[in-house]
Amino acid sequence: MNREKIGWALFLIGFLIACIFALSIPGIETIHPVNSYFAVLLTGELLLLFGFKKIWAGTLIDKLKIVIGIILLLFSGLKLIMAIDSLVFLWFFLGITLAGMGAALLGNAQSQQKAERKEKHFINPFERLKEIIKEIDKITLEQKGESANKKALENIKMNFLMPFAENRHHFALQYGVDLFAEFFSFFSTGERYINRAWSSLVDNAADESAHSLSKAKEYFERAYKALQEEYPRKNI
Amino acid sequence: MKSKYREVTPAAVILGIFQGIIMTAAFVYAGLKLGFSLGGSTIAAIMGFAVLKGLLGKGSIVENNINQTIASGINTTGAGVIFTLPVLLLMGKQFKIMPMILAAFAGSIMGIVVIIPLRKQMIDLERLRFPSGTAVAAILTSPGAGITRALLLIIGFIFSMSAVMSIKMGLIAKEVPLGIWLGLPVYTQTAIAISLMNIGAGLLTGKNGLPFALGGCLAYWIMAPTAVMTGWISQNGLPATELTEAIYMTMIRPLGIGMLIGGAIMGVIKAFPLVKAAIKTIQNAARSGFGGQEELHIQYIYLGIGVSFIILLVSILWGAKGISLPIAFLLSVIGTFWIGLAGLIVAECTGITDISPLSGLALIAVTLMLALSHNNITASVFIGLAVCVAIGQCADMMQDLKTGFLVGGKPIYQQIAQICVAWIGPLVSIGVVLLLWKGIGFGPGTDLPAPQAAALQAMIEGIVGGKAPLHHYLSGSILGGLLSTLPLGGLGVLVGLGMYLPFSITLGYGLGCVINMGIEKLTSSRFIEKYIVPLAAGFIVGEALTELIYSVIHILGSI
Repeated sequence: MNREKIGWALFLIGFLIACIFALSIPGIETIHPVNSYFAVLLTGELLLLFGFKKIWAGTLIDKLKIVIGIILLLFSGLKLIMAIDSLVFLWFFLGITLAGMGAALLGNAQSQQKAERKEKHFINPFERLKEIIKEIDKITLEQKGESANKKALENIKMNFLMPFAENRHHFALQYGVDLFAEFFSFFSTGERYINRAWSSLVDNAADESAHSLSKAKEYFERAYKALQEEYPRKNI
Repeated sequence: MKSKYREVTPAAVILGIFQGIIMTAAFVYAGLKLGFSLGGSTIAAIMGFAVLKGLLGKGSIVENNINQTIASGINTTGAGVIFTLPVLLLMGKQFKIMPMILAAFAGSIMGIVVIIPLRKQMIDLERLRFPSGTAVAAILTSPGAGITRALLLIIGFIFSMSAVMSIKMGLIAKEVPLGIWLGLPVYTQTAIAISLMNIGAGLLTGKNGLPFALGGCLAYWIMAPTAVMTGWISQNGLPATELTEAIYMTMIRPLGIGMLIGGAIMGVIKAFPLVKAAIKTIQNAARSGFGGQEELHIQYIYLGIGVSFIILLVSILWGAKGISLPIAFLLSVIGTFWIGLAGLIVAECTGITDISPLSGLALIAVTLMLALSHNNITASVFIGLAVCVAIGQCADMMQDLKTGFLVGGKPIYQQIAQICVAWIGPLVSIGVVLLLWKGIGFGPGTDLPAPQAAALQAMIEGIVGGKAPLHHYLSGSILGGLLSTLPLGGLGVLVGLGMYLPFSITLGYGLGCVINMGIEKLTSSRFIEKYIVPLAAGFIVGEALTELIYSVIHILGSI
């Protein structure tokens, strides 16, 4: 069984146990005398969670985090059992711990998968942005009339902008959050201007439509440029 | 000669304000009578067509968008006011009116400004659906959208209207009682609400909304039966309906609220890099000046938060007796943070499911404030009022900005328009509530039972009496936080929301999601966009308008 499946199994079992025992957790007043153990337990779990994420490729500090996490968990867990008269707490935290370990395993497996996917399935946004810009140029240059322009804009929205936006998660993966936010913001603003060009065309405001189209083009070009500045090599 | 494209015009602003005031007054009355509030965007958009395009003959799509932004921005505050202010009146608490208006005004401004920086992240980058915003955009663009789309919108509208009317006339039941047909116990609440609006929201969202339905399944098919079978909930010969109510109110609902909060906090931590990057793009755009100003400058947002914080502080010091400056300061700080977090939760919930967990978030605010102010009910309700109004503004601003994106409106115009009219809603809604209180009176046993406020009053009395289910909030928040660590976006919030709401709503929404997924598998996402979106928009608009008309008829009939 691979790491992802174990992660899911652990998470689901732990989460279900925790959910069920959360129903009958006693009132806050019974927790109060032991809330210091409670805090230590949480700290232990957090350390374990963050350390566990990198167990396979972690540094010495990560491994240290795991050891400290386990010690804290054992210490506070035992103290909790001794201090409270309800086993429900124990079951709840057992569930949380299992689910936490499952989540860490899943996170680890997914980040590895992402790295593999990033290498294997590179989606080239440059070509697609170029196509969008070309389609806008066609409308501007050909001047076929309002009805034809409206259809052309709908075609851009449905067949070019929508598929591009559907790949946003891939782009975030390929380029990292900062660059993705930068270039995709330009793309989205361009898309909004395409929507404005369509609306103004319906409202018989041809000048505004033409102006919005040129603004849209500017923004798509800007998105292209933002990517190109960071990834000139991949502009094939 | 090149004429300027009509967007922010005196006609749009005046019509928006006029509609906003009328709707606020009417919906406050309806809310006190019927116990639920209505959204004003759809009716404002349709009226906008009639007046701007029909009567004045020169309206544009984006101009109508400004009209509906203003109208709904004013009208949205009513829901928060009717949920909180009547509590003080019903409990016989003495308070000054002016500070109350100030608290609502502070909430109104804060709700708008805290959510503006998230527009880029939620609408531009994450592309959340915001079903009501999408439906309003479908109305605004319907004249040019082609005959097929217009027809689908009308068909959806007629179906939805027929369903609501059939229920009101008693021709069909409110729910499909699946649980009874399958022989399941009553406490599993297995039924599907006949609400095409609900199914329509699911149809618009698709697979992203499925965790919401799964949250309901977990609560009612696993947790509720376990609670009964293990004897954790005492049956003691309780009738089935009371047992169901007891499970929901004492266990599942507080756990759901906790999950919402824990999920949101973890979500904020996880989404922080994207939010930061999105805000950076706003700052960069403002600095470089590229393309002109598209978004309200971040400095105005900081200014708005600062000013509304001071107004909130002044309103507590002025309006609540027995509150010292340090406590008032603490309440304002925590209240402001809570508005930020609650705004984020609400934006995410409405972005995916169209449902805003207003009562749960207000309840947490009031619980927190009661604990911090040593059970000072007036001060706590003041903050609760600010939070409720802010939450409404957050949800409405994001829905409006989504509509704006789809029709090509400029976000900065919508943002400024909504901020400029933020004072009107609190003034009108508080005025109407006080007028009704002094005129005909309201509360349980009267013609205006104010059911939402009565429920909050009962909860406050429970909290003051030491019966707040804090342990469930806490354990729920740990569970929600854990869910949100998974590599699937917003899981904690969605599952929590699914637990927090009645199962019949969750199942109906889930059905919509499953239908969307099935259609997408058989056809394509373009088919969904072309045919399903207008149909689902028709469902949403049809139910909203029919409910509104019914409320008016019902109220007129009882005068």
